[in-house]
Amino acid sequence: MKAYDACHDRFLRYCSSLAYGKMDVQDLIQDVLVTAYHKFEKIDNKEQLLHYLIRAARNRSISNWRKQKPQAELTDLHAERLADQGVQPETVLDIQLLYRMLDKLPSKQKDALVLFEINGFSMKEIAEIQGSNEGAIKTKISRGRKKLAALMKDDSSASMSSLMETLQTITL
Amino acid sequence: MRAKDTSYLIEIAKQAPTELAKQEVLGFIKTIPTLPPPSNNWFQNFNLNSIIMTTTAIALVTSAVIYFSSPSEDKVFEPIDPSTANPPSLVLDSLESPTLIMLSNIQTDTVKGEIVTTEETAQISIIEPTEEEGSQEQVVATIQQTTNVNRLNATLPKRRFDTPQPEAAMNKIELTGAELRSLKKKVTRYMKDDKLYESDAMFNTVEFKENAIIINGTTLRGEVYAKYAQLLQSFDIGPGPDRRVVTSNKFIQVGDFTSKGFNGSALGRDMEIYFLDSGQISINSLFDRSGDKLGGLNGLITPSKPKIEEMDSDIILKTEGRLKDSEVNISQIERIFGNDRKTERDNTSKAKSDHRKLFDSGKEAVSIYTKENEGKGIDLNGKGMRTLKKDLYRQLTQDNIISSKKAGIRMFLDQPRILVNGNPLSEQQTFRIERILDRYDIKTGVNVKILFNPDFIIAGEFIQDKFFGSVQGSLDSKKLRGSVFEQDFAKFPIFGFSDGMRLGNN
Repeated sequence: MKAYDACHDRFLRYCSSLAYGKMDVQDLIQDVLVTAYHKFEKIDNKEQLLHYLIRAARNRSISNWRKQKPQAELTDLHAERLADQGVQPETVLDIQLLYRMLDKLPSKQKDALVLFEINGFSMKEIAEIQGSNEGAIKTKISRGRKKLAALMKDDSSASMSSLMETLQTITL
Repeated sequence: MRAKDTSYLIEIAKQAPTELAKQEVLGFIKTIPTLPPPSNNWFQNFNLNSIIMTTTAIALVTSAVIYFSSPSEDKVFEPIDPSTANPPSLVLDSLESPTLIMLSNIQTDTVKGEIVTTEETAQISIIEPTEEEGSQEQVVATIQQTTNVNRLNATLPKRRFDTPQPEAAMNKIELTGAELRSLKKKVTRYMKDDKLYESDAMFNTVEFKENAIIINGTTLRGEVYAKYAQLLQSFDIGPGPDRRVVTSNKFIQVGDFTSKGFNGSALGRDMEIYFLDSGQISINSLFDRSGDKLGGLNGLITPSKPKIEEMDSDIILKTEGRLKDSEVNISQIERIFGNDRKTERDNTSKAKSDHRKLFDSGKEAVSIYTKENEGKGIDLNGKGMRTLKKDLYRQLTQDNIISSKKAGIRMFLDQPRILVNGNPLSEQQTFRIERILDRYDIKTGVNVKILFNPDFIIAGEFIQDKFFGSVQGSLDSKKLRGSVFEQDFAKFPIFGFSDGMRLGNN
């Protein structure tokens, strides 16, 4: 319990980004925590429980994606849960937009970007989690940022054209 | 509308509360100890669906294999005209007394259009119980089959035997690769010991007949025959009219070489089959000279193709096919005889000019002939004489008859034993020396001598005061005087040494 206490925020945010639109984050967290609980004695470095949880969540999410197809209800469930936590609807939309755009990135870039930008891990820690080196992580984050910005721009253009079409239809 | 700022969105996501509250997760963690531990059984991946699918697939494949691999039981039964049908003869085993079986009103209803109704008397023939169990079963099985189809087969099946095997097949030679290698090694060693080995480039033929073994045209009898016969029989090779062992440095063939072809086992490469055809030796290439093991095979043997078995990266060849016609006739191979013959006059003049030395350059032999005796005796050129001396020295040394190759040798080719320096050779030693002499076309007989030392060699007939034969090397009266050869030359004025020796004595 105490060990998890320090991990909660960062672990949840990572799992949210992983599970967004693909699975129920609650199921993912429960699976990971049950496994971690039973294997807790085998974890050598208890201080790195967060790293273990993140790796387990990622592996579990990959195996779950193979079994489960994306479901629209999951995004609604995500919004409801955030609303229950007191998050404003506009903010929920922004967060979902971010997760949707992140989901379009290559998985490694996405992981590195989420862990660095949202969860606040250092590059060294990310390198340890991903079994890589700091240079590679730095590259992934840099490319991820650029690609995310481009995706945001494209999404904005698409939204604008869609809005214009709607206005033309109303005018006619 | 402006594009959303990435940093702004990330900051929102960073500041926003988590999707699930911490208390909620901690509450869940508290309940984990009450949950059953996750099973690690590997067979949990199997479920009823996978079991059914796998079992069905295996059953289908198995039944298909059994169906397609079982022999076809289709049999064609042709209707038999009762008027032409012969009275059935039953052949039964183990009947104590003759019995008559009446076959009457046998009618079939099940076979449409093929109903045969007949009334015949079956004559029972008693035969002795056979030892072949298979044959008994076969008869019983055939009768039962006839009964099952409700048909009367007017000609009851006769007992069928396996195709009788020819006598040659019973004595068929089937040696393994290791046995063939061992046989080749031993036969080659024996032939080399007995001076019957041709050469590495040529092939060697051992014909194994009932009362004799013929190796490269030399008939062996007595002890030498027994030695080879024992060797061949140790490999289960018995005598036969066409039984041969043919070896070369590249292969060995053991079997019957008949006009129908080769029947036996062979091992090696660049293989050729040699067989006698109307007194001549013919060569038939089974394999081309390039060493291609299979390339030259097809088409050379007709009508049946040989069976090739790979064994230890070599080839076992078994064939009963007819061989291709001869391509090379060994009888056309010419023997090379010496052409240089020096007359007696030349020799004597040379001897006079060289202090009674009979001398030649060492490259040519001196043959001493008169018009009366031309064509008789031993006729060899210089090279032949030198190799003869070399071969004789080697053999005598191997047989421990002489201790040094520098010794003077007086060899009397008397029958039945050859004398060397007055000592008779044993039967086997004589045999070996005779094999060497045969190669040089030298026949044994009374008054036939071969005298040689490192300086010269003289081979021929010494009859009274005449010599018929060939000489090679340097004859020096001084050296001959007092040597073992003195008595041989003293009586022969043709060499001029009789005077020379007297002169020397003076």
